[in-house]
Amino acid sequence: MATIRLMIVEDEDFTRTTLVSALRLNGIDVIADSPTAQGAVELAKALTPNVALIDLNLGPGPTGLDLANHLRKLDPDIGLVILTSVEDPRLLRSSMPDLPPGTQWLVKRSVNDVTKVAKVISNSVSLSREENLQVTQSPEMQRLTSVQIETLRLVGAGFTNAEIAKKRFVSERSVEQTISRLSKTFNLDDQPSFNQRASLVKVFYRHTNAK
Amino acid sequence: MPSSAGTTIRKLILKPWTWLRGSSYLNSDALPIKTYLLVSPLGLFAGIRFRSSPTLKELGLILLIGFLSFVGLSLFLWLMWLVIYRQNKTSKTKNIGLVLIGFLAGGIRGALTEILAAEFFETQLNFEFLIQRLLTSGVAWLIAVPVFAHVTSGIREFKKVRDQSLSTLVNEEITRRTLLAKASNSASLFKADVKEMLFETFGPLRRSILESKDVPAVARLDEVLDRLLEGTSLRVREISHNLASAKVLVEGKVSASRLVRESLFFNSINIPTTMMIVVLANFVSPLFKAGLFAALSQAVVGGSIAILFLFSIRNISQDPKAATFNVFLAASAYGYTHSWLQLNAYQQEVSVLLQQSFGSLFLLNFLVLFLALIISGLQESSKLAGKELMDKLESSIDRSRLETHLLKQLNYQEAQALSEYLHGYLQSQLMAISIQLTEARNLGNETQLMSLLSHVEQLASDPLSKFDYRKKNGLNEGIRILAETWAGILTISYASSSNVDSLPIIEQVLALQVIEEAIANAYRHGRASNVDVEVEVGSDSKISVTVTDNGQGLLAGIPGLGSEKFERISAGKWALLNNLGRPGVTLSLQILRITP
Repeated sequence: MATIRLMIVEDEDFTRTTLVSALRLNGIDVIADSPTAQGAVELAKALTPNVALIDLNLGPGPTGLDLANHLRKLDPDIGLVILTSVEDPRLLRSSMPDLPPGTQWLVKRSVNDVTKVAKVISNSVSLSREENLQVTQSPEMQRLTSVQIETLRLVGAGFTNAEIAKKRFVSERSVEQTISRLSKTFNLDDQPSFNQRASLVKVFYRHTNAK
Repeated sequence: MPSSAGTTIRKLILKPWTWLRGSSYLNSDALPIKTYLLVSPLGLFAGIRFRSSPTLKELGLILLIGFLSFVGLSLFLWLMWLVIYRQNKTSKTKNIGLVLIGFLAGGIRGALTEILAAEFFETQLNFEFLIQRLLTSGVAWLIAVPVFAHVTSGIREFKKVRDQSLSTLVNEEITRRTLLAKASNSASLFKADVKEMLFETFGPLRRSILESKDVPAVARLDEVLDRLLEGTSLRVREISHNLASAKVLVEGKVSASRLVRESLFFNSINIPTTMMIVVLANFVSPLFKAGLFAALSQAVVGGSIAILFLFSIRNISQDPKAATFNVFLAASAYGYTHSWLQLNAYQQEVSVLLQQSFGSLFLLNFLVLFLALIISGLQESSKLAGKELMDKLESSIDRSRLETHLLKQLNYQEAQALSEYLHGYLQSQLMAISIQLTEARNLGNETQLMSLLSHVEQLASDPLSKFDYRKKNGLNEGIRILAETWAGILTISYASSSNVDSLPIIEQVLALQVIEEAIANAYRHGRASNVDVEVEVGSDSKISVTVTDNGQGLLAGIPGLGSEKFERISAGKWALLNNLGRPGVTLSLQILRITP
């Protein structure tokens, strides 16, 4: 296995320092860390890391995915791990750039100890640059089809059934059915005290950061 | 005895009009002036009952009944006009109907008065007088009715426009309330979500402490978690409170518009004005008739005077001199006619009549001018007040519409920011805490555990301290930060007009959102390396944003959420076009202004 030379890009200080020290303790060579995309680009040029662990949300300006794309342009072989609270990258369609091939997707909620992070980082070095690997995904998200994902995204963005139907070139009835199936998938249909649509919006926010 | 000069004048000028000498009761002897006031059908009808020797009380009652009959008839006609306006759409039919109604109502009223007057004064009913009275009263009302109807129709048109405006307002209000309800709902859902995240992160730790039976440690952890949750709830409540404030503001605006609506009604002087015209027409017509004028003077001279009078009312505010002159001419004509007719009617001395005629001439001059001034002033002020209030209402509707757009944008922005915070920042923190907790547990590191707890305590003291759902950076500062954060990936150059800083912060925030989105699009979809941003506040106060990139140009595709944002912020006033003669695209957008 190739030696890992890791760069961590995370705008939140406490999380970044925690990751740096915990990963070092786990034998990973963290050669650089930066709170900003701009700093990361400079460090990447100077220190040529072979893996970058990037937080998806870096505050105003470019997102972690913009940075990942740029780093891949600078170094086509760099391994990329996106640290995120978005459980399924399909939910980000049209509001985010494409994932660079071979990107690892690490959901924060699933991380309880650093060994899991270390494992994903190690994988990213050897992973083929031709395919994406989603490291973690809730069982509910795995079951969702692309149509359901797109509908969930539009519900989350505040569109009505009629508007969704218009956007997706389908009937309103079909949208209703999709929403009903989504509610079933997320076990929302047995919670009559909650507004189904509002609960779906919550699901969307939880899985996407409302991107 | 009349002088020879008076007799000559009478013969030369008034002979042909002797038919028109006046009504029957004018010829009664010793006619008390008070009885002039009785000349209404009901008044006279009441008078007949007490005609032998009316007491003062009975006389008062007769006067009251007489007056009420004027008002009653006016109201009846007013209702008739309303019915006609509702049922007849074409103005020609409407006008003919109005003229007929006026003529018939006035004529019948006049004839009835004449019959009752003859009865009251115990004179023989003169058929000539009856016809004359019918015609003259009819003509007098014929003039008054279209004037009244015209003004009344104005009020109706105005009400129609107002009702349309109000229904627009109501729809806007429904949209806003829906948005606010949605936002409140999101806030409470987030609160539940925080609780769940805390449970997930700290659950294992709490269980392991419980297993070790370290009760004080569990109590401390619980206290910290409670504070963390409570702190979060407080902030969520604060956000809800802000939303509630916004709601109050919206309701306040609606109350304001209701006030405008009500004041429109009370400030509309058209109703009293027209009522005055009608009541005056009622009073004046028989008075003229009773004391001074003959039938033709009312029909012909009175008609022309009324036209001049109306003309004066219309023009007095624009050309007071001309209007005064017109009124002077009209009143003079009236005065002279009055004198000659009086000469004919009462066969008095010419000198006395001339005195009277000059007296009435000046009196009429002043009276007519005064009335014209008052009425035109009232009408003008009514028109102005109506226009001003209508403008206010319109601008209130425009503002509501803009604010709805803005609320939509802010609502989305707030939900996004709060969610980003909870799921991004807080989840990052909890992940780091989780990693450190595992580490400390594995290593049995008491110091690290304690330091971690104090970090959580710090987080608990203000869990949403870094949450700021309304970006407070101004436009210039915001773009500077964007240029800095994109540096190394994308080069951003920026130019703005000098007055950008003086724009309300919320408009700067909206402009910044557009620019942020356009820059991201330039990199993600256009693969650009350079972006030029320009913000200009024009002399017409329009805020124009132009973002030009050097990317690969516009590709066909489904518009994403970015275009939704552009749509909301600009209310449709935006365009994204390929650059001419060079690579890349240009976004041109006009920000919706929320300040009137």
